Amino acid sequence: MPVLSLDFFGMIIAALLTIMVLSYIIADNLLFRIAVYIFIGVASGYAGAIAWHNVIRPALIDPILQGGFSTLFNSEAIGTFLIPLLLSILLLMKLSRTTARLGTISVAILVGVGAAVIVGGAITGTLIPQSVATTNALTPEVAFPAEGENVASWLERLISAVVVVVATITTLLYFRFSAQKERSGETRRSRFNAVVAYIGRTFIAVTFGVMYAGALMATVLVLAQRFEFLRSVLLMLAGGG
Amino acid sequence: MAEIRCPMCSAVNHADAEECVECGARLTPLIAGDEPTGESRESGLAASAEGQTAEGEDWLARIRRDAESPPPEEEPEEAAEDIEPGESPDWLGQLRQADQAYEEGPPTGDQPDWMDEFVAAGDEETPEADQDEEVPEWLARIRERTQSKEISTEIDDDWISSLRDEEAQLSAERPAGLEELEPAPEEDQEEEADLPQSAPLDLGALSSVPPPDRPSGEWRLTDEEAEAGVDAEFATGPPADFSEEGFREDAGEVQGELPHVPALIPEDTGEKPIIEIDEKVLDSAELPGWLEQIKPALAAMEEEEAAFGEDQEDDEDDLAPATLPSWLEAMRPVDAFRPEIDLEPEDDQPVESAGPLAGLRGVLMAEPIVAKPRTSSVSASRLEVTERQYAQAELLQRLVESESREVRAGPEKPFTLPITRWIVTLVLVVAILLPYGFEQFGFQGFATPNVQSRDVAPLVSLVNNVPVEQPALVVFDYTPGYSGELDTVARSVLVHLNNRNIPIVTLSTRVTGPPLAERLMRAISEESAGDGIQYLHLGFLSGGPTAIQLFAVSPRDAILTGFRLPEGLSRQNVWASPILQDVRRLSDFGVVVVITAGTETARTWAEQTQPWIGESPLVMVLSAGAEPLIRPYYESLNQQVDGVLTGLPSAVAYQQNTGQQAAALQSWDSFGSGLMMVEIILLAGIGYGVSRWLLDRRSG
Repeated sequence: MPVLSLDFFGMIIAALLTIMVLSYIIADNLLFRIAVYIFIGVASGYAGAIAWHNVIRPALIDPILQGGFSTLFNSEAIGTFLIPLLLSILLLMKLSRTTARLGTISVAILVGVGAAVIVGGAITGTLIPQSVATTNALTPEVAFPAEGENVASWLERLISAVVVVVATITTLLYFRFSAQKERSGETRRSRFNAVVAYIGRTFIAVTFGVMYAGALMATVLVLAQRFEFLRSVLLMLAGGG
Repeated sequence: MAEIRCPMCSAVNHADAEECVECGARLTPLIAGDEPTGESRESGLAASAEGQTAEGEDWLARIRRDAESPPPEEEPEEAAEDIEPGESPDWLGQLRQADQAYEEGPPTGDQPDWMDEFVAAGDEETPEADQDEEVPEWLARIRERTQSKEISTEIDDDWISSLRDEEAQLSAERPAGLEELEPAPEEDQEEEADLPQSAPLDLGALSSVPPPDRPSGEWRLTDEEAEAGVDAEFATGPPADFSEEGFREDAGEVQGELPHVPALIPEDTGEKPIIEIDEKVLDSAELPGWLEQIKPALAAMEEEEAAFGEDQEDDEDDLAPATLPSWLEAMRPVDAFRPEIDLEPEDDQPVESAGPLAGLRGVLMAEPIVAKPRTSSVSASRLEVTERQYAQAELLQRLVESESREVRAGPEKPFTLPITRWIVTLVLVVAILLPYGFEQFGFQGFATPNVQSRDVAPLVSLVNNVPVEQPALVVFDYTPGYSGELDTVARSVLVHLNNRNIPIVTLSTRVTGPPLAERLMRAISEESAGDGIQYLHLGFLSGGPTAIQLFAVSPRDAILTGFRLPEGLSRQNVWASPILQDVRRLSDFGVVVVITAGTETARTWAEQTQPWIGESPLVMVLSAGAEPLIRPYYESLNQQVDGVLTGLPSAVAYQQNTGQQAAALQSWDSFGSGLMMVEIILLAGIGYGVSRWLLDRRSG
C-alpha cells in the first residue's frame, strides 16, 4: 500500500475543486458555489494570516516583546513604532460611525502619499521617457540606412519608427474631445480631427485585439494545464503515474 | 408691510420712503399727490395737453383775463398798506405773473399771420394799444431778457422758476406804475365768486399754502389730502379758516415764512395754471374801452385760432414717428415697445411723476414699465438646450431615479439548456485531450517553433551576464489563477538562473504571492540536479506602489520579515541571510525579474524602480494579455525594461535556446490544438455574424 502523503491529499482536493469549478459549464450549481465560497474564505483567511505574520506582528508586537515598553520611547521608535501605531489606531476608528472622523487623518495620509507616488512615478517613469522615446524614433540614424546595412532591415526599422510616431500622435489626438458646435446644435469634430481620431481609434482597436488574443492564449494554456493536472491525478489514482 | 419698488433699480423700499435706499432715486413724485391713473390721468393729460399745445391761447387767455381786471385806479389802498413790496401774498404773485405774461405777448416768431392783422387793427383802432412806445424802460429790459431766454432754451419746462425769478425782480424794482396794473385781491375774489362753475379760475397754486395749524415746512399735502384731490377741496369751497380775511392773514404769514414765492403749478396735479374765461364771463365783465373795441376782432381771431388748431392737429397726425427726439429714440427699449404701440406726440404724452426724470414730458414712463411689480420672466432663467441635450438629461435623470427605486424580481425565465456553451466546451475539451492520444494514433503532434522570437536571444544573453555573486530578485506578483501560464513561462528563466548558481530572492506585493513562489521554487529545486536551488523568500510587501518605492530606496526598511525561512534564520533577521548580506539597495541585486499578469503592476515596477535600479537589468515575465502595454517600455531606445518573456511559445523557445529540459513542451500539443480550435470557433462566429447581417439586410 503506497504511503499517502499530504501532497497526495492536496492533489485530490485540488482535482475535486477543479471539477467543481468546471461544473459551471453545465449550469450554475451548488458544487460551483461551494468551490467559490471555499476560495473566497481561504483567500481571506490566508490574507489575514499573512498580514498578521508579515506586518502587524513584526512591526507592532515584536518590538515590545523584544525590548519592552521602555524601548518604545526612544527617538528611533517614534518614527518606526509610535507614529505607525497611532495612525493604525486612528484608522480603526473608521469602524464606528461616531469616531469615523478621527480615522480621516490616516486615510488622508494614505491617499495623499499614494497619489503622490503614483503621479510622480507616472510622470518621471512613463510620460517623459515615452515622450522622449517617441520624439527620438525618427532621428536621422533611423530614417537613413547605415553603411552596409541591409535594405530590408532599414525598411523594417523605418516602418516601425513611423508606425510608432503615427500611432502615438493619432492615439493621443483621439482622446482630444474638443469639437465644434454646429448650427444644428450638435458638436462634431472637424474633418481633419475626425480622420486623425479614426486612425488613432484603429490603433487602439488593434491594441485591444492583441490583448484579447493574448488573454485567449493564456486561457487556453490554463485550461490545458488543468486538464493535464486532472490527467496526472487520474493516472496517479489508477497507479499509472 | 407695504413696499414700493424703485423705478430705477427695482430695489424694494418701504412705502414711506421718498428716496431709494439703493440708488437714491426719488420714489415719490416731486409733485404732491397720487399718480394720475385712469380717468384722472387722462383728464389731467388732456388739460395739460390743452395748455401745452395751445401756447397761442395762453397769451390770449391772459389778455382776456387782464381785460377783466379792474382799472388800476380801483386798487384798494388797504392792500397797498397791508402788504409790503416783496411780501405780496401768493395769489398776488400769480396775478403778477399773469400781468407779466400779458406784457410778454405772443412768443416771438410764433406769431401767426392773423395776429399781424390783429395787431395792425389794434394799432389803428385803439390808441391805448400802442403801448410799446410808452413801455417804461425797466419793462422793456424784462421783455428783452425773457425773449432771449426763450430763444436760448427750446425746451424749457422749468419756466416756472424763471417766472419766479422775474417775480422776485419785479417785486424788488416794482415801479409805481405797475402797482396800478395789479388788481385788488378783494375784487379778484369777488370776480372769482361770480365766475360760473363751468369755468373756474384755477387757483391750484393756493393749495400749496399750508393751513394755519400746520407748522411751517410741512406744507406738502398729506396722503389723505392728496387722495381727496385738490379739485375736491376747491369744489367744497375754502376751508373754515380760509375765508378772505383768514386767507390774507395766512398768506401774509406764509409769505413771511417761506423764502420764495409759491409755485404757480399746483404740486398735486403738476399742471400749469389754466385760466379759462368763458365767453359769458367775458361779456359780463367790465372791459376797458380799448378792449371793447377789439372784441369783434377777438371773435374773428378765435375762429382763425380754431382753424389753426385743426391744421396743427392735422400736421401732427401726419408726423411720422421719426420726429421723436433723438435722445428719446435712443432710450426707447426695443423689446419693451413693440411696433404695435403707437407713439403719441410729445405734447400728448404724460408728465413723468417719479424718478430723476420727474417733471419731464415725453420721456419713457418709468413706473408703468419698470416700477410695476411683475413676476420674473421665465425665459430669462431658462436654459437653451437642444433636443439631444434634453434627451440626455432625461436619460440621466431616469438613471438616477432608477438607482433609488426598488427593483422587483422579474419573472423567472424559462429554463433553457445552454446548448451553445456545451458545444463549445465539448469541442475545446476534445481539442485539448486529443493530443494525448497522438502517440497512440501515430501523430507527431505540433512542431516546436523553428523561428525564435527576437526577444528571446537578448534575454538569454542578459541572464547569462548576470553576476553570480549578486542575488536575483524575482517578484511573484500574480494570483493563483494565472499560475498555470506564468509558472510555465517563468520556470524557464528561473531554471536558467539556477543553472548559473545565482541565488534567488523572492518577493510579492500580493498576499498569495509567497506561497506561489514557494511552490514553484520547490518544484524547480526538486527537478534541479546537485544541492538544489539557493533561494530565500522575503515574503509579502504591503503598501502597493508606495511600498515598491520604499523597497527600491531601502529594501531593509521595507521588509521586516521573510516567508518560510530556512532553518537557522529567524524571522527578525532575514537580512542576516548570506544571500542578502551585501544587499543594501535595489541596485545590489544582479537582476530584477517581475512575474505578473497585470499591466498596472508591471508599469508600477518599471516606474518606481527606475531611479534606484542602477545598472541592474529589469526583466518582465508577462502574461500574454499584458504584453502589448508593456512592450513600449522595452521597444524604446532608452529601455526601461531590459527583457520581456511572454507566452508559452517564448518559453519553449527560451528553453530550447538555453538547452533546458523542455518542460514547457508537456502542454505544447494541448495548447496548440486548443488554440487552433479557438481560432476555428472565432472564424465560425465571424461567418455566422456576417451571414446573419447579410440576411437581415436583404430582408430589410
